[in-house]
Amino acid sequence: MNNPLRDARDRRLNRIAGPGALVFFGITGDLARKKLMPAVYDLANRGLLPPNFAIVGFGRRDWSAEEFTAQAREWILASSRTPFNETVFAQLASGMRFISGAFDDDDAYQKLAATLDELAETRSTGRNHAFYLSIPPSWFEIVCQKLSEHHLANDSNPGWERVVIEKPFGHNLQSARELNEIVESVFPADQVFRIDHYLGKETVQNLLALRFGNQMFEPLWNNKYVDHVQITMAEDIGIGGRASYYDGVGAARDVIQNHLLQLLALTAMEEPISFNADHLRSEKEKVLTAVELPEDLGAASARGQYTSGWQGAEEVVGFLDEEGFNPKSKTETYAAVRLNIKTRRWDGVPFYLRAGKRLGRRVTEIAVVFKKAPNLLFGDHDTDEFGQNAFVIRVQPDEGATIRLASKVPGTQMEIRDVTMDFGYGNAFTESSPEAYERLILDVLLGEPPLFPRHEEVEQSWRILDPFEEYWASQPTQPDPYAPGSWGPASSDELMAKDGRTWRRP
Amino acid sequence: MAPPMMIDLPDTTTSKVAKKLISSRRTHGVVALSRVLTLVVITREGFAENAIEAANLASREHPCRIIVVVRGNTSAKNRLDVQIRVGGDAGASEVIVMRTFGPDVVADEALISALLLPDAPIVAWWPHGVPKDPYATALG
Repeated sequence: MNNPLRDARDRRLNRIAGPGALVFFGITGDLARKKLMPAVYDLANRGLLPPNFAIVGFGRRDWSAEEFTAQAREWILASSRTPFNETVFAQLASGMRFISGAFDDDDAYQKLAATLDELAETRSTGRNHAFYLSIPPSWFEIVCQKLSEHHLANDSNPGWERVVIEKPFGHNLQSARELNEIVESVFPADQVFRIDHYLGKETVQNLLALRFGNQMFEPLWNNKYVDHVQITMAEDIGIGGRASYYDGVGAARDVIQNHLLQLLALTAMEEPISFNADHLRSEKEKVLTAVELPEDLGAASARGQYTSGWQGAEEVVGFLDEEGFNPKSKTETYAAVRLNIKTRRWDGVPFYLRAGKRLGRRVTEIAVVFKKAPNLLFGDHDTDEFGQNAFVIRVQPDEGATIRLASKVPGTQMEIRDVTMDFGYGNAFTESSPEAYERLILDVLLGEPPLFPRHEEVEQSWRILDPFEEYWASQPTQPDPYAPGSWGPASSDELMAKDGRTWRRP
Repeated sequence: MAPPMMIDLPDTTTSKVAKKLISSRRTHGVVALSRVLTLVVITREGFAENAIEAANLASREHPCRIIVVVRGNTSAKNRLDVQIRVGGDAGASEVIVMRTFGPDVVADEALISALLLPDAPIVAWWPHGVPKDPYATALG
């Protein structure tokens, strides 16, 4: 339904979600406490949620609605990005409910159905329900099944029903397919939102704007000028309390499969004919399908595990020494792979992807490194410090872009050196991009799926990663150790050195 | 010259310092990313201020960021105190003074890597007591 007072061409007004209820499964989990509830509050505080919005928590704790509200208040006070406003919170809290029960408890689902009925009456939610599954994937099947059994999904409800699932989407191609079948048997494909919170919509849109809103990059964006591309996602933290989740998953499944391959797709894809969901997705899918695996998987990959040590004045417990952790685990905390894309545009340009924990600095970036200039004029400048041009898109933190170019050092000598030109969203707009979860939740409520990966993309990503995982699993050796605070194991530097390149220090 | 704006972060970690740096760059408009190099000064208690002063002067001629690692009492408890100086006579960019205490918090790659700039070259300077073989040290 369109608001007759709003003109679609007017981009000044924010888009506001319609009435509805958001049901959080796993509301007591880390994610819900630190990110989801604060994000919902921030949305409300920015005036992007309707006043009759309802939130239903579903968890095993034996809480009343009041206790839930009191907890939510603390979570919001601790982590919200906008200032706390009592009036806003009171309005939000009046729509909060809590359902206590296990995820397979029929009684709890009956209570949930009754609560949603009540909310439809008292808060006019229009029976619009979004189910946020912030729970381990092994529970997806049961929850989806129960929702369907209790006519909470897959029925003739007049409102919309959407489901939000978080990565990981399976642990290999087969499990991803099974998971998808379960979810799509209950919810129609266009109502399934696969969330990769690292890759907020804002980031994706920023990237698209840089690539396609400018004329100067496109002519250079191909194998004639680009030497190689490095996509990095480094975290300075370790696995901490997530040991039980992380064992058997590893950096490649945790990050490369979803986040880095999505960044690769956005960097390498052709220009979509519009921002329409289908157009964008089909371009991403095309380029992911064109990704070619190297013949020698061992030579084109590296993996590592961080050891104990001191990182930035903090004592760090090594991965294998984490308490209660399997000391023989072969799970990697660092992974790097080289991929080729067999398209006319990219043939011969390797894409290097690396992800790791306990690295030198928290950073996610895409570095497009250009070929060396012929440099006839500067042929005798062997000792000068200038090299290849690079265009670097910083995804986080301090989102922005940097161009590296050579420049003459002032003075009578013709001395050349690399300098950088920098752009930061924070500096240019005095306002940082909104938190990823805010955009994500708002998009779910608005029913705008375009930038969420479609299932075909998830399958393609597994097709690319599975052979590496199988190869690594077949190796008897442990991943190579690396010191915390460094930039990965020596084997990852060798991976680059073999091709006559080096990793950029991000 | 105006005194620089100082931000003290006692008993901290470098990842907290890195966050603080980004927010202070934003608030005070200090531009760090276009600096061509990072000067890392490795010194010890007592010599620090002279070294910082010299480095500040140098930073006007060769715009750079300065990281000063001051080694304190190595038999004390492990700790890192950091002071960020921006603006005023802190030279062209920012100065990060890191005071290390204890046997395990030492000037090595893991200590400063969170504070380095992407790609920018690093120059290490030992104003007093240059190691015999700088290449063999952790920062060399």
